[in-house]
Amino acid sequence: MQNLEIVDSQKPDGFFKLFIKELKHDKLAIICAVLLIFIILFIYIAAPIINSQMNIMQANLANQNRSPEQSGSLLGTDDTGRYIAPFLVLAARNSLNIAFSVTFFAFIIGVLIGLFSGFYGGTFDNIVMRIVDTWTMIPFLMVIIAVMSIVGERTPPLFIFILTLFGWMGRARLIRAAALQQKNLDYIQGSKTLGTPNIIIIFREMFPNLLDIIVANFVITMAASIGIETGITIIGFGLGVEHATLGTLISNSLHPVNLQFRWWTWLPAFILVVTIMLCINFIGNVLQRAADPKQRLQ
Amino acid sequence: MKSLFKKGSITVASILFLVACGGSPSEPQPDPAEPPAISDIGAGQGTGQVDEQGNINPGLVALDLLLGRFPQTLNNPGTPLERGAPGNILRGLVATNNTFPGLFERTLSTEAMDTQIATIQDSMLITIAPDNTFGTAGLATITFGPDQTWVEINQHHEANWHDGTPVTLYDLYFAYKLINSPGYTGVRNVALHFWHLIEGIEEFRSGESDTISGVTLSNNNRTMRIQFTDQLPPSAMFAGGIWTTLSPAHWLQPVIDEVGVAELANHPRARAEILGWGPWIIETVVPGESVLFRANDNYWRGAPLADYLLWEIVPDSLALASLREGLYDFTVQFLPATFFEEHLLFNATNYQIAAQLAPGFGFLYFRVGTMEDDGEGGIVATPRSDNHPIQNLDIRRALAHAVDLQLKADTIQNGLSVPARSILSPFNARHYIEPDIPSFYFDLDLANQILDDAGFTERGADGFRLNLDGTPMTFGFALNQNTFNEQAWSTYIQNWHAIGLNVSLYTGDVIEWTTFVDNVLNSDNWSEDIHIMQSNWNLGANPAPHGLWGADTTFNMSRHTSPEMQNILDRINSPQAWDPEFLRQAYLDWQLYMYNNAVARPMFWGIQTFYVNNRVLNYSTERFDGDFGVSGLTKRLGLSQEQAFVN
Amino acid sequence: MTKTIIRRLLIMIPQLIVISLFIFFLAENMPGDALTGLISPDIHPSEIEAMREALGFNRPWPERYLEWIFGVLQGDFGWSFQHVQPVINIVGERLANTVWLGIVALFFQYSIAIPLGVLAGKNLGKPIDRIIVVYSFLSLAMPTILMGIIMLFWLSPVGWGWFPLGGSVNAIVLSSGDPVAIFFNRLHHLILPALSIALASTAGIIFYLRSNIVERRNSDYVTLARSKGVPERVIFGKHIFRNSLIPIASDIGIAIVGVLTGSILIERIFNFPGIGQLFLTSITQRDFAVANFLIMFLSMLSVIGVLISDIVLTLVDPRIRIK
Repeated sequence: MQNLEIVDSQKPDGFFKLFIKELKHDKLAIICAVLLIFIILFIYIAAPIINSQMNIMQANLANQNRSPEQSGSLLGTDDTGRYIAPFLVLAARNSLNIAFSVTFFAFIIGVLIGLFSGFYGGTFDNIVMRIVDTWTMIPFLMVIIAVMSIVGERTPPLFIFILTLFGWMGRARLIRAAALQQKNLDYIQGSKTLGTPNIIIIFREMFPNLLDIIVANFVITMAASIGIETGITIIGFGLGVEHATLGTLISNSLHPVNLQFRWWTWLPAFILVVTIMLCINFIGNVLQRAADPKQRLQ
Repeated sequence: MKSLFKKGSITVASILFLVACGGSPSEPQPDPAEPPAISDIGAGQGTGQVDEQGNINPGLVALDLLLGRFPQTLNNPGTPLERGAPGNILRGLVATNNTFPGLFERTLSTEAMDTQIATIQDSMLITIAPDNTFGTAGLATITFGPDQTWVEINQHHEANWHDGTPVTLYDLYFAYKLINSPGYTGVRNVALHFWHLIEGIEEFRSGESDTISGVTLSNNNRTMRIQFTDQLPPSAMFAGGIWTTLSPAHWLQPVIDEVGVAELANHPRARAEILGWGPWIIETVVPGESVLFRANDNYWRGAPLADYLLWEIVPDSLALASLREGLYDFTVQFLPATFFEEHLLFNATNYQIAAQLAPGFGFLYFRVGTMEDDGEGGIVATPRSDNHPIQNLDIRRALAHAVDLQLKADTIQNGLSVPARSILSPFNARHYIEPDIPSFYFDLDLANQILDDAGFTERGADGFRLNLDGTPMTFGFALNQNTFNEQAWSTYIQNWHAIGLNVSLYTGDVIEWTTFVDNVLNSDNWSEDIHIMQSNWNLGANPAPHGLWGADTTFNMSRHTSPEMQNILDRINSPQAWDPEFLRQAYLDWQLYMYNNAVARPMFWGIQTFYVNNRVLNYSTERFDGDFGVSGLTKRLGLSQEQAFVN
Repeated sequence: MTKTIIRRLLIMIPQLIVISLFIFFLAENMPGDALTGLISPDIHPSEIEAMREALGFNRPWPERYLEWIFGVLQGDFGWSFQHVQPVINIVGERLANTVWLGIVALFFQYSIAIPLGVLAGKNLGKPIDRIIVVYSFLSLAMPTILMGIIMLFWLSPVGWGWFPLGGSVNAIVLSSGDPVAIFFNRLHHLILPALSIALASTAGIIFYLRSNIVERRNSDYVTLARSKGVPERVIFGKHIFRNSLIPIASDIGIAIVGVLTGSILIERIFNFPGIGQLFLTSITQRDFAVANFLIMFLSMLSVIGVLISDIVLTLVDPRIRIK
C-alpha cells in the first residue's frame, strides 16, 4: 500500500521562471528593464555624492537662467540660479522614494485587508467591502488638494500618509477577489480540514500563491504613484523646494518663458518621468502576463 | 476674492485705503507735549524733497530714473474711429487665474475685480486730487466745517442713472442707510471708523430710528450735511475717508422692500442688472470670465469714443502672448514685474508700456515682541519674554544692512523697482521724504562691523556667531507664498549667513497666505520660533502709520511700541496735524525713529506697468483732478484703426 | 431591479453621512476660516469677531454639523463667502459648464479610444499595434496638465490660432443673442480642454478593448462561428466587437466621475469657469461651504456613477443580474 501523502495541489511553473520566459519574448521590455536598472542605480549612487559635494538648494540670483552653453553645466540653471543637473538627480530620488513608500504602505494595508476579507468571506467580507466602497467614494484628489493647501508644514511623511490613505482600496479589492478564488481550492480546504490555524493558512499557504499577482500589481502601482504624485506637485500642491520632486521641475513649464525659451528647466525632468513610467509599465505588463495565464502572448 | 495683500503677484491687487485709526475719539485727546528730543542724525532742513544743495533722497533718485524709462502718457498717432465704425471695440485684458464673483453693488462687495467692474460703469461723485485729497471736478464737492465736526456735500451738476432717473444726493444717503442697516451683509470697510462718529447712527443701527438723524438733505436733495459727534481726525480729508459712492435708491429700494437687506446681495439687481451712472452700461456678463459694456451716450461728461468696452480675464501665462497677437488693446490692471522678463525676451513693438508709481510696499519685520491682552478688551504690543537676540538693536541693524535688495530688484523684479530709502513711500508721502533722512542700504562690511563692534565676535563650531553670553543664536524666518518670495527666500538667508547669523526658513518653505495670516500676522502662534518675517501691503491715500504700526493692531508685525513712538503717532493723528508744518515735523520724526530703532526694514519702491497696443489713443496714467481711474480713462480712449497692431 | 436600485441608493445615505462627518472634521482642523480672507487694516478685528459670532462660527462643531445637515435636507446648502451668494447658486452657474465639458470629453474619449483599441486588437503584434500601445502608455505617463499646457500654447491664438485662449464663451458673441452662433462658440471653447482630458484617459479603454478582442478571438464560440463559415467581418462585428464593448459601455458611470476629477486640473490651465476651478479657489479662500458641498457632491456622483454602470451592464448583458 502506498503511503498516503498529502501533496500540495500542482503548483504552476515558478513565477520567476515564467517572468523570464515572457521577458525573452518581449524585446521592448528587455530594453526597458536594462534602462530602468541603469537609471535607478545612477540616481541612488549619485545622489549621496552630490549631496556631500555641494548645496544644491543654494540660490545664486546672479547666476539665474543660464542655458547649458552659458553656464558650462550640463543642464544650465533655473530662475534662482540652481544647477539643474544635480537638482534633477536629487529630485528623481525623491520622486522614487515617495512613490515607493506610498506603494509599499498601500500594499501592506491593502493586502492585509484583502486577505482577511477574502478568506473569511461572508458577513465580515460584506462589511469590509462596504467600508472600502465608502472610502472609494471620496474624491481623493480634492481631499489631497484641500489638506496640502491648508496644512502649515508640508512634510514628506504627511504627503506619503495622505497618498497612502487613498491608495490602498484598489489593492484590497484585487487581493480580496484573488483570495476568494483561492479559498475554495483544494489545498486551502485541505489545510482547513486538518485543523491548521487560519492565520497560518492565510500567510503560509494562500499568500505565497498570490505573490505573483501582488508583485505584478506592485510594479504597476509604482508607476501610477509616480504619476499621481507628479501631477499633484505640478499644480502646486506637492512638497516644497527642499523636498523637490520631478514634478517640481516640470512645474517650471507653467511659465510661458520657460516653456518656450528655457527647455532645460523642465524638459529633462519630463522626459525622465515619462521614461521611468513607461519602463515600469512595460515591465509590469510582462509580470502581469506571467501571473495571469490568459494574457500570455504565446 | 476678499481683500488680499500680495505685492508683485499676479492676483488682483485691491486698493485699500489705510485709514489712520486714531485713539478712540470719544476720549479727550491729550495735548501732545513738546516732541521729545530725537538724536540728531542728519535732520533735513528743506521743505520737501530737495535741499539747498539740490540733493534728493538717493532712493528717490533711483526711482525717478526708473520712472523716466517709461512714459506716463502715450502719444500714438492717428485719429479715433467714429462711433459705429467697425472694430471700435476697446478690449481690455485682466491677467489672472481667478474668476470674479459678480456682486457689483459697491456697498456690498469688497472683492477687487467686482469693484473694478462696478467702477467702470459708475462715475465719481467727488473726484480725487493728485495729492489724494478730495477734488473739485466731480458731480459734487465736499467742504469740511471749520472745526471738522461736520461736512457738507453739494451737487453742482446734473447726471442720470442709466435708466434715465436723475442722480441726487438721496442716493448717497441711501448708501449710508444701507451700510448701517441691521442685516447688512457686507463688510463695513473703508471709512469704517467714521461711521460711528455720525450723529444718530447708533439709533439707526439698532433699529430704533429709521433715519440717521445726523444726516440732513436739503435744497432738493442737492445738499447733504453730515453732523459728527466729535471732531474728525485729519485722515478724513483723504479720499476714502468718507463714503462717497452712490447706490441707486429707486432701483434697490423695491428689492429691499421685497426681500430685505440680508437678501439684497442675492438679487440680480445687485449683480448683472446693476444700475450705474457712468460712461459705460453693462451689456452682457459671462459669469466669472468677462463683461461687455456699451457706451452711454447720455453720460454727463460726454459719451465715450469707443462703442464697446470688453473686460476679459485671460490666464496669466497667455497674457503677454495675447497682447503680441493683438487680441487685446490694453491691460486694465498693471502687469506685475515678472511679466517684464517675457516682454524683454520677445521685445514686441506692437504695444508700449506706460508706468506709474506702485502702491505696493513691503517690509522685513523683526519681531521684538508679542501682542498681549491689555486688560481692557484690546491688545497691546509687549516686548518678548524669551530674551532673544533679535531684541538687540545692533543685531537688527546688521540684519537690515546685510540684505542685498538691488540684486533682487534687478533679477526677480526685472529692474522695475528700487530699494526703498525711507519707511514712507513716495506713493503717498513723497513730500515728506527729505534728502538726507538716514536709511538702510546694502553693505555687508558695515553689517559685519556693527556686529563686531557690538561684541558678537565669538563663533561657534558651525561658523555662526555666538551670543554675548556664549550661547548659539538661531533665527527663524517666515514669508508668505508669492512668486517673488519663492525665488528670493534663499538669497535673504545667504546674505545673513554671510554675516555669521544663523537664520533658517521656518517650515522649510514659503507659507501659504491664509496659514500665514493665521499664525504670523493675526496671532503670535509662531512668535516663539520666528524672528524675521516679510510682508507686503497696498498703501492707500493716507500715509499715516497707525494702520501698520499702531500698538494695538496685529498689522504691527514687529510687535514694537514705545512712548516715543506713540507720541509721534498721536501727533500725526491729532487735531494739530491740520497744520502742515506740524505734520511735516511729525513725519520727519517718524522716519528717524524707525531708522534708529530698526524694527523693520523697508523693501522696495516700485512702478506699475501697463501694456497698451499702438492703436489706442489718449492713454495716460497721469493723475489730475477729474475723471480718472478706469472709468474715466476708458471713456477717453480712442482707437485709430479697425484691427489692433500685431507683432 | 428597482428594488436593487433603491437598496443601493439607501445604502448610499449612511455612506454619505460618514463621508460628510469626515469632511466636516477635516475642515474643522484646518487653520483659518472663510473670514480670514477679510483681514485688512481698515477692518477692526472686533468687527470680524462680531461677524464670526453672528455667523455662528464659534459654536461647537456638533451643533454646526447638525445645522448643516438639516439645512441640506431642506435644500439649503449654505452660503458662499467668496461669491456672496448661496452655494447652490454659484455651483449651479459653474456646473453647467463642467457638464458640457464632461460630455464633450467623453465623446472624444470614446471616439478616439474605441477605433484605436479595435485596430490594436485586430492587428496584435504588428507595427500598428505597437504604435498604439506606445501611444497609450505615453498618454498614461503624460501628466494631464502638461498636455493641456502644450495644447493651449500650440493651438490657441498665440500659436496656430485654431482655438481660443480660454473661458467658456465670447462675450461679444453672447451679447449678439444668436443661439446658433453662441452654441458653436461654446463648442469652440470646449474642444481643447475636452481633448486634453480625453487624451489622458484613452489608455485604459484601449488596453481593455485590445485585450478583450484578443481573448475572444480565440474563444470557443468564435472558433465555432468560423468553422461554420461565417465571414470574418461578421464574426468580428457581431461577436467579438459587440461583446467587448459591453464592459466599456458599462464603465461609463465611472468614466463620468473620472472626467469630473480630471477637470480640476484642466480647468485651471484653460481658465475654464467650471466646478473644478471653483473647488480650487474655494480651498484657497477657505470658502468651506462650497468646498464641502463639492466634495459631497462628487462623492454622491461616484456612487451614482457606479450604479449607472451596473444598470447599464444588466441591461446590456443578460448573463449578469445584480443581486
